[in-house]
Amino acid sequence: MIRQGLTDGWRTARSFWALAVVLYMGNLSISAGIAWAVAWLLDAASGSSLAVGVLTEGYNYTVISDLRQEGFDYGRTAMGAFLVAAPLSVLLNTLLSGGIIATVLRQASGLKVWNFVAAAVAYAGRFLRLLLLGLLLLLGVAGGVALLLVVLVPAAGWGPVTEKGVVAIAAAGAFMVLFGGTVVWTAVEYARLWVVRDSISSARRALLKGLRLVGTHPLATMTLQLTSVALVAGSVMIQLLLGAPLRMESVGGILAVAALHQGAVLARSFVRLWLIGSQSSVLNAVSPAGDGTG
Amino acid sequence: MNHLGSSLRIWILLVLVLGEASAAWGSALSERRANYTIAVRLDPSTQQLDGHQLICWQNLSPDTIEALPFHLYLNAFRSERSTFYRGARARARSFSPEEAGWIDLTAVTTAEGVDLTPGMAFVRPDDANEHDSTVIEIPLLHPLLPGDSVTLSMRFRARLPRVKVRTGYVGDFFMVAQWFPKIGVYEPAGMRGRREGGWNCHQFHRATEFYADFGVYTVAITLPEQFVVGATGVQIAESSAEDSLKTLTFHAEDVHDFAWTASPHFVVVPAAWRGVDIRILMQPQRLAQATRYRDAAIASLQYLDAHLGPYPYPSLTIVDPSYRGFGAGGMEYPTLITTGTVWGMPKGARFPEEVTVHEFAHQYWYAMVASNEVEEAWLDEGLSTYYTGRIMDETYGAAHSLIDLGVIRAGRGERTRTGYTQMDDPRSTPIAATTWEINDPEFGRVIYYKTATMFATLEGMIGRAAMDSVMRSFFRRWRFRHPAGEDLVAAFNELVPRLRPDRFGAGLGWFFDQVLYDTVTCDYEVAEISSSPAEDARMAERSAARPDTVPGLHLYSSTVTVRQLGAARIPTSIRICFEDGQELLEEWDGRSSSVVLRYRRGARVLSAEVDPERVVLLDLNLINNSRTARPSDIPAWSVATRLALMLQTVIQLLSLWS
Repeated sequence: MIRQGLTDGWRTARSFWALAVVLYMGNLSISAGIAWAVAWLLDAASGSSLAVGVLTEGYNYTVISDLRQEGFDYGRTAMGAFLVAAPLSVLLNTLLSGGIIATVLRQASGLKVWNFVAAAVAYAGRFLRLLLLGLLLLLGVAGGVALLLVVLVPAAGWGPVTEKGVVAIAAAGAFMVLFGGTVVWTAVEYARLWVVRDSISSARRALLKGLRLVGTHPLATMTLQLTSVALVAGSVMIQLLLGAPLRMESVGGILAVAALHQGAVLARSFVRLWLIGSQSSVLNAVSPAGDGTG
Repeated sequence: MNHLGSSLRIWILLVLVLGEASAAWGSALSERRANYTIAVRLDPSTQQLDGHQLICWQNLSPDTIEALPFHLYLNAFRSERSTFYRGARARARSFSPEEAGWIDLTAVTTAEGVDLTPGMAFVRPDDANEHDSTVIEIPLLHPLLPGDSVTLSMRFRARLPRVKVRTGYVGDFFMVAQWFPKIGVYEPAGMRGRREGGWNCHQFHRATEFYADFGVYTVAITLPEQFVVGATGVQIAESSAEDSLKTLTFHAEDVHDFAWTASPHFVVVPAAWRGVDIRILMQPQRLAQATRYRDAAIASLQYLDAHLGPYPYPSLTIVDPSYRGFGAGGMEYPTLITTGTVWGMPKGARFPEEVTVHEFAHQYWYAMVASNEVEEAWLDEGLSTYYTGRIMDETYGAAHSLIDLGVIRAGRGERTRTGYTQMDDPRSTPIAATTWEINDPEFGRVIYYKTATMFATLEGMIGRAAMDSVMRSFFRRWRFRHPAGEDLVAAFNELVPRLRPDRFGAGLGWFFDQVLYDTVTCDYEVAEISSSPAEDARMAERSAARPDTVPGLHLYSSTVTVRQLGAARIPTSIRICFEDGQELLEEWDGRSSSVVLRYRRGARVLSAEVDPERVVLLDLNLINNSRTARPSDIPAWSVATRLALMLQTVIQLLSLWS
């Protein structure tokens, strides 16, 4: 089942490459908006100064600090950009997922824009509810891990812990939250597939089915999910390694760095598509459509 | 345990080893007014000290002394109504019973055995706070004439607080500082600007540190044998005592304080530099960082030896505080410094190095020059911070001496400057304000960062060579002599006109009046640059037959306006660049709030930059120091793109889970 999933995922990514481009364009539009806004703010604050020239070489502590006097706070701007872009991105990806999953599951030949949009709109409500339920479950996982550690550490007689102990406990906690979160999110993704394939109207019911699937077929579901995580992490590492020597001191330099990044983002969009295809394969193997288990 | 018998053995030991110990230290470097012989026992289970000290104080003044005031610093932690906590409460600190500490002077007798205890009384010379008992005055039986000395035997008991501010314990880690009754400083008329002689013995304020006289210390510390001890000076003896206790004796000369630390977990890492025995007491799990402390300490020893003068003590102890004992970190005592780091601190985050360098720099200013930290904290902290920047930048590279983590880099020198320029109100407090009276939450930035930036600006103005000459002269003239801030100013005004008669023949009083004694700020701005074709050039274009014009020559009238947005009046230079590649360097005396420069040349002004060499680091904003007629948005797009790409990666990782 895992091997079949891997193969089907690759086939999906190849056949529906246009969907990866759609996903990529969505991400790009948000990033481009951020870049434009930040550039505009910074240029308004300091455009005529010679001092900002060093910023093409990288972060300059003195210049970044003094820009506050001109009304540009880099830290707050970055935080503000993140707080705007992160929810927008999550929402956008959630909405696009409806169209992407519908296109993949219906094995539609080519990307029909109108069908894509219609599917995205049709499943938007349920997908957003799934998103919310998933976030609540994630919070529950994080809270549970925190409680576990707070109770476990003193019970095991580990107090007062040393610095290494604190780091170890924090790392263990982070790992448990990440793993638990990955389990929850895998269930959410299968729930989405179920919603589209079997037209399930209740997001809660779909999520329960997703959780049950992950619980009964942990090896298949988590292997594919973790493979996707590994591919994404690998792409980030390659991106950082290749990007390290590049400099943004000219228009050409900026474009080169941007191209490298966008290539990596596009690659991750293909990984996303691959995951949907592989998950669909597992779903069909475990619970074929119309067999009454939907 | 026979405590009396144990004490007697300790005193005999002290007397026996004292002579031998003194020989190792060489001749006296200071006046040695206050000399202590102390025997103390630490009970780790109750965090209590049981002590007995002999203090021999010499009246080297021309005045007759009627009473002796002593600091009892630990009483600041007795209750939340102490002067220390009142000041702390102004900054939202809270008192908890765990933090409680105290010291009780149980008996004071003269060498003849006369009991002075009944006459002791707490005094509050600063704020009349009846709940503060950090200064006690002991009337003498007979007035002490000039040239005479008095020896007192003092018994005391103390409890260390849970460490939050410099001294105390956490678990079985003890940092024992300001733990014994310490005599104040008698300042005769003329010393530090005094009109008449008097005691300088302030209460313990939250915002201030310490001030004491030089002398010789011999201290015998008795504690459980499993403890590893570090202390001021050098260890001269060790003996076993009953009940699995041991007694370690330390000796230090020409110091004005004695601090010590003890923990059964310390791992001792030895090092040495030119006869200075360096002992690094590390927490076991941070052992890998011992070399960072060592290298920073040696770099500091080398640097200050070369630029100021020799380090005269035979030892240096570096203490790495325990986990949760960081309140004891980042502090200086004679020949002993406490640092601080965490397990796993990256090599590119040079905070362990920074704190080591800073605390060692204090060995020159706090430990040897020994200015009054209670009244003029800037003189010690500012100079130590200034030299920290110099040592860090020259050892690790100015652009990344403090942080060197890939794309994120920062130098210690520039961090010092921004510590001042990022103040909410840079005009809040003059540097030279009396420290213990300051009630400003940002006073620390003034004392450390503004003062250090002032010195860095002075260095830029007069040059490194002249700066080093002045500082070396000041250090060598005033070490072991408690100078005042005006003594430093006098050194500059005396020497700089000789070293730099070209520009500073009149001295630097005008500079110190603004920066040290006042709160003026400095912010140069290039307000405008403009160019337009000159009138007669336009006429030449219209009349092609004019014989006196060179064909194709254009003349431009250009204007550059430079302003001083603050009230500072500091001379500087202005660099003008023209489109034809020519550059001019104009000098501006800075006496007015603005200057307008006009040019008629064959090229337009391309850019103007005030203070291009970045001499005046007190300038609050370097961004407005320049202006160009051809701005480029590449820097803005470079920053924006970098930020957007980073966020894109992070957000995509998040959204893959959506």
